[in-house]
Parts: sequence; structure tokens; C-alpha cells
Amino acid sequence: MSTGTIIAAVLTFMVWSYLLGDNPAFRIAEHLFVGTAVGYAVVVAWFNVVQPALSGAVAPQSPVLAAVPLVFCLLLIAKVRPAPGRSSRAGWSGVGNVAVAFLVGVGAALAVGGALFGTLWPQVSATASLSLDPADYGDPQPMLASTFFWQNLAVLVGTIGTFFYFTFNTQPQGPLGCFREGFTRFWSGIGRWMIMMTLGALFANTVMSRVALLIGRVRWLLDVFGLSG
Amino acid sequence: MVSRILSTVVAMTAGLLVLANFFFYSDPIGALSLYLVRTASVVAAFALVLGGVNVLTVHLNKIYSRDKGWGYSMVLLGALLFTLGVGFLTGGPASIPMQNIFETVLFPLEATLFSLLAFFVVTAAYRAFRVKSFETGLFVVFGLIVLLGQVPVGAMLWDQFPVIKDWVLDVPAMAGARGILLGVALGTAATGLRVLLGIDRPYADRRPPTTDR
Repeated sequence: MSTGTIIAAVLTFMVWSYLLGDNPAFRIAEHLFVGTAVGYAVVVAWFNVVQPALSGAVAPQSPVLAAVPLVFCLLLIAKVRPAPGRSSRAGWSGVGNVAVAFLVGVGAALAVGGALFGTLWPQVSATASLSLDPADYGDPQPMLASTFFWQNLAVLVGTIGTFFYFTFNTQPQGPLGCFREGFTRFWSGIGRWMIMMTLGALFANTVMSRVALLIGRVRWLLDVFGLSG
Repeated sequence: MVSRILSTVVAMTAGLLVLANFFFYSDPIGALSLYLVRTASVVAAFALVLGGVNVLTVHLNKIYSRDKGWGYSMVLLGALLFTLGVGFLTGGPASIPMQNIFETVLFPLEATLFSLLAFFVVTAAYRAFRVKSFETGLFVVFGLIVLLGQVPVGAMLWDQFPVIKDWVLDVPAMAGARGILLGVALGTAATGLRVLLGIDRPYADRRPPTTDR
């Protein structure tokens, strides 16, 4: 058995010791994990992204454009706050805001683009493509006897209902206010049911994934100690 | 004041240029958008490095002032400095020593911590699976169907459990997830547009509250 395997097995037992209650072995494993994970992330970020940028890989044909990311990085240093009780550098923090604003602006644009073209459009297209047209359910199977028709109807009603559940409601006004309130309540009620069904299924999937990880670790330990069949 | 205006101009200009690439197929806009996204990824990676520096200073202060749990901070700092040292001295994350750290420490700890959640999820399920209303009844029934449809014992109890599980995931769960996704996408787009139009400015420093007498 290699040293690495012994270390990994000891760490596994140290984490599982939490089942007996909070204890120093678990706390050591927890802090070891955070320290190693932060160090690993910094090394990956430095060698895979920052170092190539320092050598001008972002815009190899233009030194000026290649320097822009470095300027933003230097500005970002101003956002590192001093420890409590030390001298304040609040004046410098405003300079760092420019770099943060750049990150937020680009991030917001990617989020809007991703939401519109990566989620909204494909999901609306998929919902709109569900056919309720009788012509699509001709002989030999009539529409109402088709499983696909009822499935399409259920998906359509469920999607609209769930979407209505997120509707921002205000006190209804005008002659059709009561009608509007009743209409919204009916669909959001269906939506609440659909959300509970979905959350039930998602919860079950989460349970399954965690139990699969647990089984994986137990099997690995059994293999390490030669106890597997 | 100047940095406030400059920050807003930078956020709006960079954001709108990147967003324009989603709507207009043009080579100059595409190239500019790609450059801005690459620049942002470099700045984000550098922010991660600064985050590491922040963790270092926080725990150094904790050790220096002998705060509660300073011994654990020493373990964290030791692990952090050791990983950084190995990473920078051996040439990055692809080196053999760094791969050994990943396989010996990082992966086992991460997998075991997530496997530990299995116990807590099961106890949470015990609390959640108490039927108090029709809605919680739906949650319980659909959760149990999906659970029983995925394990061998479910198929042994009734061979239709996997079939019903597939139907649940394909029809009601998909409809609910689709509705939730539509709501989230619209919310994301609205929030993002507020930032791009300068209505929300999360990057600006908050001014201390003024006291009125």
C-alpha cells in the first residue's frame, strides 16, 4: 500500500468521524481541505490564465491591448482591504472599482446573452414545438387516444402554470380585476403543484447522487484493505 | 465621484459591446467582444489569486492574535503554503507532485465530504417526508417514485416503478423545471439589463448612512 493511499484513507476516516459529532480530527481535515483547495485554485488560475496573459497571449499583435488586462489586475489590488485595525486605504478602493465594474459589466452581458439565447429561446422553442394539432394525430390512432397528446398537454399546462407561479401580483383594479386575479390564482395553483413534483424528483436525484458517492468511497476503502469480494 | 462615473462608463461600455455580439454578426464586434471576454477572464483569475492572499492574511491575523481555533488556522496555512510552494516550484498544476496532491488529498477529502452529505440528506428527507398538506404529499409521492425507480429494490418490489419514474422525469418534472428555467432566465435578463443600463451599480462603494437629526 502506497503512502498516498494511506494518507487518503486516513483523511477519509477523519471526515467520517463527524458522524460521531464535531471533533478535532474532522476540523483538521476540514481546514486541510480548505487550505489545499485554495492553494490549488490559485496555482491553476496563475499558471493557466494569469501567466499566459503576462506574456501577452490575450492580444499578441498589440502590446497596448495586451497591457489592458494587467492594468485592470493592478487596479484590482486596490480592492484588497487592510486587516481590521490597520490603516485604511478607502481612497484606493474607488480606483479598484473600475476593474470590478469591468468584470460586472462583462459578466452581466454574458448573463443576459446566455439567459436569452441559451435558456429562454431554446425552452420557449421546445415548448412551442409540442403539437396539439389533431392533424398530427390522424389514423390509425385518434388524438384523444394518443399518449403523446396527453403528455404534450401536461407539459404545456405544467410549464405555463409554473411560469404563472412567478407572476408578481398586485391588488386587482378595474372591472376585470377579479377575473384577472382568479385566472392568475388558478394557473399559479397548478404551478405550485408542478413545482412540488419537480422538487420531489430533484430531491430524490440529490439523495441518489450523494448515496452513490458514499458507496464509491466505501468500495474504495474495501478495495484498499483487500476486503472486497 | 470621478471613479463612480468612470466605473459606470466602463461597465456599460464593456457590457453593451459584449452584448452586441449576441445580436449582430460582425467581425470587428466579434473580435472586440472576444478580447473583452478574455480580458475579463484574466481579471477574474487574478481576483482568485487575490482571494488566496486574503485567506492568507485573515488566518495569519488569527494566529497572530491567538484567536479561538488558531491551531486549525495553522493547519490551513500549512496546507495552503505547501500547495502553493509545490505548485510554483514544480511548474504548475500539470506537474506530477501537484497531481499527487490532487489525488491524495484534494479528491478524497472532497468526495468524502460530499458523501457525508448522504447522511444529512437522509435525515432531512425524514423531516421533509411528513405529509402536512396536499403539496407536501405531491413532494413525498414523486420523490419516493423517483427514488424507488432508480434502485434495484424498487424494480424488485414492482417492475413498473422504473417506467413511472421515467414518465415523472419526462413530463411533470420537465414541465416544472422548464417553467422555473423560464422564470430564472427572465429574472437574469432583467437584472443584467439593469446593470448594463446603469440603474443598478453593484460595483460602487456604499456610502455610510447619514444620520438626520
